[in-house]
Amino acid sequence: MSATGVWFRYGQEWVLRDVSLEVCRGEVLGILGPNASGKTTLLGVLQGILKPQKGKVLLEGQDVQAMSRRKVARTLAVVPQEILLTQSFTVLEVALMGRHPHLGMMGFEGEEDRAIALASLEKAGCSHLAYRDVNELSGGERQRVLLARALTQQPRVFLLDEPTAYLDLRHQMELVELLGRLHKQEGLTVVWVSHDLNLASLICHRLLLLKAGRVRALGPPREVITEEIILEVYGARVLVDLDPVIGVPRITPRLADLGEGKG
Amino acid sequence: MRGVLAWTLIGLTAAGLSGILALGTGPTPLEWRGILAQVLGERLAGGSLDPTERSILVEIRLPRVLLTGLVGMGLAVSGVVLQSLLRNPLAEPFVLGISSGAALGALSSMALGAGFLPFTTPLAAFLGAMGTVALVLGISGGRGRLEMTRVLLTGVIVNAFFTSIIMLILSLSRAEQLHSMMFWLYGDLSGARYSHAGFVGPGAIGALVILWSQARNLNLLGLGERTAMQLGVQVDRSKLLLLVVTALLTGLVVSVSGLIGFVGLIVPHLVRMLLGPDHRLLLPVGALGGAVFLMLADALARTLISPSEVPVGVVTAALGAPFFILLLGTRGARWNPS
Repeated sequence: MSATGVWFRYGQEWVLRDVSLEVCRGEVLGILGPNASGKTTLLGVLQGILKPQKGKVLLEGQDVQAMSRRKVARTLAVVPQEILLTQSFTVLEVALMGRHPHLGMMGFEGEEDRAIALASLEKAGCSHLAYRDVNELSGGERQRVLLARALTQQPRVFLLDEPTAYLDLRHQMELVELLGRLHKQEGLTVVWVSHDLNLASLICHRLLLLKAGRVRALGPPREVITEEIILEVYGARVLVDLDPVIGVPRITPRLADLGEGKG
Repeated sequence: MRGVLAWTLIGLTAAGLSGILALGTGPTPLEWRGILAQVLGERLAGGSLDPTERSILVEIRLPRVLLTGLVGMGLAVSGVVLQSLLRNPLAEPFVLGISSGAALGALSSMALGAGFLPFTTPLAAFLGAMGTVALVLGISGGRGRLEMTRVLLTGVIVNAFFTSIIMLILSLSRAEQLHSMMFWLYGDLSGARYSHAGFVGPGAIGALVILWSQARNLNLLGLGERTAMQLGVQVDRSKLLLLVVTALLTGLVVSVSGLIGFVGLIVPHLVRMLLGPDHRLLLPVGALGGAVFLMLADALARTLISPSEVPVGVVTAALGAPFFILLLGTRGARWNPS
């Protein structure tokens, strides 16, 4: 998947300015940036929902704007921040919705589709919830269901839109571990939009840092997460050192009025 | 799939039974054996009708019950689709302004004295409905994309405007015209003819098939447009198709029946409570449920003050509201506000 020279605006103001990136097969790419830096817009452009005014996005060599939504959905699955439901579907029904791009117009899901959905629930660790109403689940459980739905699409690319945004620490870790396993097992390419610099640094091969719609830095975590760049992009003073266990950069916020600490 | 077949069969059986009941009900009661004899033969059914009874059945009751079934079906299906599409549990077939447009057409034709001509009123109502839908979609879709909140609001405004013109027509009309106008506004099936059923039938069945082909898209649209797109739905095309077909269906149905309220609101909720949110199931079963509900309501409307008639819309509302409240209390709504 790649984007070349993408410019996008909703109204007058450019939200994305000349953004280019390439995601290799099997890579985990993190997209970072402060609020209003264009992360969500970039995600919209990458999945073909927003049409850039300039530049183009290629998905497995094809222009994503020229592909049908069905075809895009068979190649690329999106895991959103949360699930919005007005009606009471069961977990299995939600997972089966991932088969939509594979079915004909009038079609019903067959045994095979059911098997795929059940296997996805199993992989996402929520097969025990299959017949529960999605609206009754906790935030962590719902996120797993969304993951299962995405897996049921049998995509080759996963786009994650801050999937950990509403989760507590333990559920964040569980989700990240689960994604790590799936990434290995299924050989998925993953694009992860995140606000959490430390988490992104832990799990991504490369990071892309957006500043006001432009790519400020693109590279392995060590090159992107530095005190100078974080100060410049976020306007926040942080301490960057290396995680003592696996050696990736990590940040610690420095609060002005705390000085050298509380003692 | 099996669930859909099973429920459709149950629905068909219920529709058949209600149909026979409705055919038998009226100032001259007809025995069900006699009605069955017209289809199965006298020996198999074990009864018969005399010639007067037969002509009542064939010339008066049958066209009316057929039309009632079609109208109930159309209203219920429109309600199911619009509630999901607009993501609003209060939506019903008339929210897009179709009712007022149709009423304006029908009442104008009556006021101009064309009501006695066969088919002028239905035609005028249908044209009024379609004109209104074009107006609503034109205004709300002006910027290229159909935003459902805009559609809904435009529908409400257009409705309000046309209602004021309808009030004007009513206030200027003579007393003898007023009666038929009021009946039309509350839903009137007393003028039912085979030609009406022939006018509505093919379109309504066609619309149902097209809407059913969009059933999975409707399920996904309920998750929000972005999610639907991510799962492979051509959202803009699907929404437009659903809206236009629903509008056509409602317009057709209203043109021959007037404004029968509550069917398109309550039947969708009933089937949702019973069957859950899957539209592949909701649409066919909702269609049959609407037919059953309206056939029974109309049978009641014909008998309450027999030999005179109550407008069927009065019955649907009077029956529907308490029943609905009862259901809300016992089962809880399947809708969760987002």
